[in-house]
Amino acid sequence: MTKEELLQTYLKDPVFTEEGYLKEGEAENFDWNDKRRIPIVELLKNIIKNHSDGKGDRTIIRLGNQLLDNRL
Amino acid sequence: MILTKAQLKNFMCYYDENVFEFSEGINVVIGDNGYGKSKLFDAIYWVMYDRCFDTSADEFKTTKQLNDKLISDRAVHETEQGNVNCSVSLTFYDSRKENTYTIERSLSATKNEDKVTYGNTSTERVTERKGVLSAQIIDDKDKVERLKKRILPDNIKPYMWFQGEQIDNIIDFKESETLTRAINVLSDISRFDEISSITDSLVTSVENELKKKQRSLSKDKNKSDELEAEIKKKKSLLNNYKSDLQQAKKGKKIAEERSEELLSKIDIAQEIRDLDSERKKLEKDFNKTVLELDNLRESLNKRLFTRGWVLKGVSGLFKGFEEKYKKYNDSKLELKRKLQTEKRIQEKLQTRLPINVPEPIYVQKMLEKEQCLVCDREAEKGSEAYKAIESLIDDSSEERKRLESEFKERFDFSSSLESLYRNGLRQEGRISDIDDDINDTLKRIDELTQTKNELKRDLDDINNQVKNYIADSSINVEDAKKIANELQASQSMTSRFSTDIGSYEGRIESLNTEIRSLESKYGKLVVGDLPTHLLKKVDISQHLNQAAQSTRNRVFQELIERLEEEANKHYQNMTQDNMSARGIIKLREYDGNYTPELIDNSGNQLSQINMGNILLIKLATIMAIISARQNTRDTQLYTLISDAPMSVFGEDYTIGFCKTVSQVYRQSIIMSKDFYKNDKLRNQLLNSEEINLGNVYMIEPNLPEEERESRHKLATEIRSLN
Repeated sequence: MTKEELLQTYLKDPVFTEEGYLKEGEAENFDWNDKRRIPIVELLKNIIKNHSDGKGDRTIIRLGNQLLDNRL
Repeated sequence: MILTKAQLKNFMCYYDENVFEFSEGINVVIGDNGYGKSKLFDAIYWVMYDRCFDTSADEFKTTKQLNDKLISDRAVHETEQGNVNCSVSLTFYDSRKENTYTIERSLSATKNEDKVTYGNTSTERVTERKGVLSAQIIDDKDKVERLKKRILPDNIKPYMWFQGEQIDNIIDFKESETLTRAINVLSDISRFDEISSITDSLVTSVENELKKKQRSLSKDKNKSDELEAEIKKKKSLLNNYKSDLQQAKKGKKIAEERSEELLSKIDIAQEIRDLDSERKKLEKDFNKTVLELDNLRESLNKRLFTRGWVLKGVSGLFKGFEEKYKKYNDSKLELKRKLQTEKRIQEKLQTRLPINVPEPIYVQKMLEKEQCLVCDREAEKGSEAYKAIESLIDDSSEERKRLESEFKERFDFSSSLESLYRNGLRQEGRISDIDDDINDTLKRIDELTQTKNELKRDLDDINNQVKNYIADSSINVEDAKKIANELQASQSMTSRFSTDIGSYEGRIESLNTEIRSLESKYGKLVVGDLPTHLLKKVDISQHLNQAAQSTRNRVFQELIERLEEEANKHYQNMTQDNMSARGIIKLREYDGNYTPELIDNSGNQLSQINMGNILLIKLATIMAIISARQNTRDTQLYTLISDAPMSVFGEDYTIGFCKTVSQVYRQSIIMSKDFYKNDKLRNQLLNSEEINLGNVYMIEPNLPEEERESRHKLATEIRSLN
């Protein structure tokens, strides 16, 4: 399963539309390189990428925290 | 990566140089039992892991433990002096990188006259050839290990390289976690699990950050600390209850599974118990009958005398004796009468002369003088007077009396004859009953023999029934006796665990309420506003965590549905040649774990599934996990290598199995005896268009069976069949 496939699988979850992060129908064709910088999606991509790269859990959590601090 | 070549030199029964070449699709090595199929599997495994599976010990053994078994006996025997080497070399081809890797393992022994010293450690040599360049040796041990992991990762190994005997353990139906473990290993679900764990930790981290901020803005830091400590305490308690709840659920599940298992056996156990008690009764009756029969037979000789059987047929003799005795008695009476007459005559004579008067000496003188000296008259010899004098001598002779008495004593049998007669009279009544008594006794013996035979037959029948029940159900008599009690215990455990679960759930709910209340109080102590970005951070991390957990569950559920679909497809394919094997594979979920079971169209679980079917379900499930990931990198990479996987489920499934395997795995190498004697099956394998066939080999020993005992001449002949 590629990173892109993994991302799309997660984005299918209704929480993204219910909480207003994405509009209906947006998740299905969401592009990994989407430029909108939606924080929750950025965080998810960050976790998927770092996990795929074999980084340790603590590092991934630290980087995720940093990303949120920078984006919000 | 596929295995393209296996070269074996002096390895076990593979004397000298032997080569197998493999391609994509299903490669089959055919041979009868003991012809070297397992040795080929051992050779491949040995190269990779420096150990082989010892089926007799049911465990893997190292080179050190196996050294003398690894080198061909013939190679050792034919070496007069010096070193004997055995080696196995495997060549793998990575089509993506177009690289070729060769891993060779060798072991040597030294022969000095008749003494052979085997090496304890093997030597490994790994080379890599990139494209058309020349091969380079890989010295870096880590790189070698990485290469081996690429060929077959450790966690996937049990599902890809296995012997027939091991299939049963790959997915143990009694351990529901084993299927979940297999799914985790062979699917992407572990990635989802890991990401869920990361988002969970991220939430904790962000919530801690929030708490820290809340504390720094608290109007009453002591109270905040107090509340925080309280929350921490409650959360710790909550975790304990959650853990207890998991344990109780696990315990309940085990108890329920046990109850279910026992319930499915209870009827048969009752049958076995009933049969056993009937058997015991029959056994008792049988022993009683045998004892009575033996006693009766032993007493037959005694009865000749105790029951007078010796007199059988003598009633005629008794009659004859009776007549003779009567005659004897009549003649005796006659004689007695005569004697009495004589006596009376004597008594009359005694009126004239008293007894012993005159004395015998004078009587003798009278006879000599032929004159009676009493009356002084002449008594001429032969005259009446002479006879009268003479009679006086007879009566008066002591000797004569003595002789008469002796004669009477010695030759008078009247008392004996009378005793015999009286005995005869007494026995006469019994003699007439003897025939009836003998007949009754013989009839009883016949009856008892017949009863004994009938009881023996019934006993044999019942023993066979018990034996069949035991064979079918694997429940012995002792188990059958215990099952009812065990079921009661399991049901009571289930009930106890249910109560515990209810209690833990109640406590967890109550603690959650308390924690929420404490957190609310904690929040109310904050003076001023919390930073918006922090609150957003909490929201985002919580929402992402929620999405991660639910996505994981959704993906897993989809995977299970897909696995069921795939498993059923493979199961149907494998069983297509055997109409008796039917049913639908259902992956039953319990508390997050899955167990494969076979159900009918109405959803009822099929019981009494034979071992072959159980293994097919397991294989179909493993194949499903592989094929559900069809065309992903993983399934393209690994080769299925299995020794005798079909041995348990019979020839009806062999072709179906080969078709399915060739469709699921990019490459497979199967060792099988099923095609050895069955030409029809072999032709089907070689000619079926539905089987993606690789190379097929026939292996046979060079010696007939009777000469194979001495392995000093043994080698293995390899013949390519396609």
